[in-house]
Amino acid sequence: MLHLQHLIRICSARLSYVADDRLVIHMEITFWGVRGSFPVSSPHCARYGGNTPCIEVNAQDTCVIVDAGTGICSLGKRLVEQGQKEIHLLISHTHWDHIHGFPHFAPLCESDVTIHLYALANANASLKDILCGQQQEPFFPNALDSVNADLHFTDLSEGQRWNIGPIDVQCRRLNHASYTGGFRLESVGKTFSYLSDLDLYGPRLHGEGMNTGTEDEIEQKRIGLQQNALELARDADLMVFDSFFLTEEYKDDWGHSKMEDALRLGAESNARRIAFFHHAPGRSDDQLDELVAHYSTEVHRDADLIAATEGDQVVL
Amino acid sequence: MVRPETRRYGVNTPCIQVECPGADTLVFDGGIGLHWLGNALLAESFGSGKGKAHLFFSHTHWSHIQGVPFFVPLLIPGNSIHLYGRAGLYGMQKVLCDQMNPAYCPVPDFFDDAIGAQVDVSELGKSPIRLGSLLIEYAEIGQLHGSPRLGYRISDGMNALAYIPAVEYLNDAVREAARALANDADLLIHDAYYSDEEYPTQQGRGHSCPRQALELAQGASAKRLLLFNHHPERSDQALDELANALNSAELPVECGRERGVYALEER
Ligand SMILES: [Zn+2]
Ligand SMILES: [Zn+2]
Ligand SMILES: [Zn+2]
Repeated sequence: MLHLQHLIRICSARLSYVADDRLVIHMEITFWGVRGSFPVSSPHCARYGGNTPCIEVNAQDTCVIVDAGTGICSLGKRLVEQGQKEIHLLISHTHWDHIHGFPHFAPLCESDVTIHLYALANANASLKDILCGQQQEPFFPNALDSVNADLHFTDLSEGQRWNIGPIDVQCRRLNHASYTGGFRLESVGKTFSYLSDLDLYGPRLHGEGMNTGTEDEIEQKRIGLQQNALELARDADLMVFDSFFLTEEYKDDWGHSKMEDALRLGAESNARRIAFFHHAPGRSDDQLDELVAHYSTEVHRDADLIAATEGDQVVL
Repeated sequence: MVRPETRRYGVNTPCIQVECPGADTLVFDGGIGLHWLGNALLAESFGSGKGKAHLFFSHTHWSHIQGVPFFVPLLIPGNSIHLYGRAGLYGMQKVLCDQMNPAYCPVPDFFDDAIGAQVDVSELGKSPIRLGSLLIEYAEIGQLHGSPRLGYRISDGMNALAYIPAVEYLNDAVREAARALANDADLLIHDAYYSDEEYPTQQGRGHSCPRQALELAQGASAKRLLLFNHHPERSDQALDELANALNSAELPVECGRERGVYALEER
């Protein structure tokens, strides 16, 4: 395990050559925030990190960000420094921990920057209204509708598939409160799957509108949601998964999964690498070390298991 | 990773607890620090639904309320938790309920009478609040884009603490109101978001700098100054330097530190 992580860190160049001298272009995944619920700054999580969800995906200079937790603050500064003009931001859902970094996203202040935002449609409010609601008085001094950057909002339909530059993106609904989507990003034959905030195998359905209809219809929805996760994760080179709970901590009304669920989906979908993600605020670095070591013995075939670590980069 | 250069002072958003023998739990502001305070309180009466707390907000920007949904005592039936603040046109009740909107927040809505603790919300008007032997006075210390900001003074007849976490001295009325709160206080906790060098370029953004905090402390004859509401980028070393530059035997100056405890001695 350690050996592998080491390799990941040093393989950070954007382009590299394979043996036959053909130029191969990678997909690079960088973790900027990995913690669930709210940001944590205690020494107990100094190594894995305390910022809330934010992941950067780079393929052929196309920049896609997944979620806007507090991790996006540092990423934003770097994007301004490097002069990134086009930014695509996928939002899994609009719970605080997935959007509360956005008002502090430095590219918002740049007049020559365009930010495209996407989230699964919420039947009650548009993504634009939800983000404007976060970013206005009496909650925040600088209103979103007066920022310098050019913003484009897209409310995605269930199962929507589209292209962002060289990346093929797909969004499917997951079993979590409100309206929550997972994403599958494919480029240059590599696949990154993002499944944060879902209770995959739990007894309850959490999303809005999920518990209406006959028992049969609800059962069909449950099967559909599990199928969604499986499709998103199928043959993924990296699957990031909501591993909020330990088995003994699990609560069926919170909308989060257990670590063992990550392994089960990983096996069913044949994911090559699994990353525990959305770590509980109280989960310590030492605990995560032990959990990864423990579950590594149970991973299917030759797949790898890691716990997502703030600042780490994975090259697919 | 947690940035090592902010490890000593911490980066949780504002929350302070005021402990006074015989009094209910008293809290000022509900930043992320409130979650960890809540967990500590669970070991006491709040874990068994017998706790009583009063939580006062300086204003309703995220950094001062974002910990509220994660304050676990709110979810335990039997606890009584009273929230106070002033939100102008919006109203505190609406502001705090909006934070719990299911589009943003998966936590059960403890403002619903059937869920969790008994929760009351009061819009602060003019009268001070009396809690046992404690008197809690407050004053509006300016507004930012129509959102009022309050400063507090907590006294028990012997000692006084002034809490002014967000203020910009744009006129004399603000200066006067702040001075009255800090008058002769044993401890003044004061906004120092910007450094003295940064402040001139950041005017109008609603915050002050250490020099202004010191001026208020001196003008009000406060006994001790704690700089507060640190900028998220300010390193431990920079904070040490800010305090050292102002510190003196007559008026000790420190920077507020996460989990720091500051005792007011009987006079
Ligand atoms: Zn979350
Ligand atoms: Zn969520
Ligand atoms: Zn503020």
